Amino acid sequence: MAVSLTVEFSGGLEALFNNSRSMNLSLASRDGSESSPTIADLVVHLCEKVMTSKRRELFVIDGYHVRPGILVLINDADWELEGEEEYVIQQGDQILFASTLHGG
Amino acid sequence: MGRMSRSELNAEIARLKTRIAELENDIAELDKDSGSAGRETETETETELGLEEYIRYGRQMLVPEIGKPGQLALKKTKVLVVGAGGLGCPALTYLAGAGFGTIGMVDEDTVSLSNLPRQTVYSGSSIGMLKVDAAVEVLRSRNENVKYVCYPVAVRHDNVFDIVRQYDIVLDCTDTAMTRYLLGDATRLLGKPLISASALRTEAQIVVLNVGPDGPCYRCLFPKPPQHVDACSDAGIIGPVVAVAGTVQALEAMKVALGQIPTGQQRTMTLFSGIHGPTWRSVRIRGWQRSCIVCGDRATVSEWDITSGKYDYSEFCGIPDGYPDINSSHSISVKELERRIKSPHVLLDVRDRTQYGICNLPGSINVPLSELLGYDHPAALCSIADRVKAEAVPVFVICRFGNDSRTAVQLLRSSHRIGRVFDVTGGLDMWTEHVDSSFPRY
Repeated sequence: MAVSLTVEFSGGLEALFNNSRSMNLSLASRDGSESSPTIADLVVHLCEKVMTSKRRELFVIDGYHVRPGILVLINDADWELEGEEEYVIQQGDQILFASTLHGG
Repeated sequence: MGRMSRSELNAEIARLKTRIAELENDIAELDKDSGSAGRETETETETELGLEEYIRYGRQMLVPEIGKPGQLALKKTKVLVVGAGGLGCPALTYLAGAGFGTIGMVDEDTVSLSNLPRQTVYSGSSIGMLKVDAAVEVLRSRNENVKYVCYPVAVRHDNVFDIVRQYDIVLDCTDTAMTRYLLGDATRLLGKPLISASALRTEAQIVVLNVGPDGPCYRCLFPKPPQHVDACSDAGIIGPVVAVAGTVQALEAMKVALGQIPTGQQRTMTLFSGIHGPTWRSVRIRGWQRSCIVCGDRATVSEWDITSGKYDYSEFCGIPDGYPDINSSHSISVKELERRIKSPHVLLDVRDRTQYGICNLPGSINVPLSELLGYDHPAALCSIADRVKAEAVPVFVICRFGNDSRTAVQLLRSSHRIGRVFDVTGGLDMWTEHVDSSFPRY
């Protein structure tokens, strides 16, 4: 089943997505089943259909796993609190991918 | 005495600098003691305020969340600021103003011109001075009730515990991933609250760590090192953005000193975006992690592992510099470039568009490295390739310091099959140094 969600990028990740910091998406489960898509489905979709740069390694490693140093926030909560890649996306969710900063 | 290696000598110098700071501290303590009537009086001054202090801190004591007990709590607290740059300057200013009892500051750098737009503690006359020396002079003139301790050293695996141990709260105002992990681990192992902040371009992040029964440490939050890090000197920073973060750090330090410890749902990281999207976001973060290698159930990294150098931070962070070596026959010096641009050629500048817009060499063409790497056939490159093939002219690739240009040269030779491509060694920085001193450095 397809769900609508908002995806946001910050901390420099927007450069991989044509400098887009916020976008609305409609997403179905990758396997085409009735179940709602997960964060893992979203990450694949972003890499395959949305990313405009071919520097995929700045977003994912080892296939489609979000690179260390990127915070994933589901409705303003650390994805670790929500089940990480397995989290099932709900209608209207807001997912933020934020690169951690180190400057000072 | 046997001959020491460079790294041994540097380690020895760092150790001695720390020791000198400690001894200078001891002298300050002695001077203070001889001016008072002994130990009892000293305790008295810590639990009481002088008349001058009632006036000085009156405005903040009027705030119920602080009051007199809060002011006394601040006076009893020793706070350490690591890094006296864009974050450290506003943090130090407000910590000193608020009346913390002791403020330690660690930084080995000297003040430079490019610091002045945002490191507001320093002035033009501070250029060339050690940051800690310049800062302590200003801070003392603002509030001499505070005891200031200067450490003109870099935090290292062999001095971080000795320094941190003497304080109650630590502010991470540093600028590299490696130092952030080192300071995160040392503060966790010593049980000291850590107020961490960072900033880049238009954004900043602030988080309070090592507090409460189930609060996370830096490594709980970021168990794996980042694989790609931008520095302020490359990606840029805006003064007010980093100042917001440093100012929030000072406020968080006051809250921790007052005993306001965030737990559960209040455990948040603050994201500040100065220009785009929502300005402030408070996001809920994970708690303590069972699997953490520093504070988890089966922690494997101890103080000894760190101080002895057994745990290797540069290996852990291991961000390779990633720039290829260029065969010397494929590179030219800036002097040679000066000569060869008198004949037909293509001068390709691979800096990003913003940097190209700051200054560029006449006749150069800008195709940013990010576009060369990010797209198979950047339009701008296709026309260059056509021209190079039709006219058989050489391509000279230049950037700011001669790093990105190496990556570009390799890419153009391998992927784009352009033959006569040459790296300009040392980039525009060397151009200013050896060819045209009027070309701006930034």
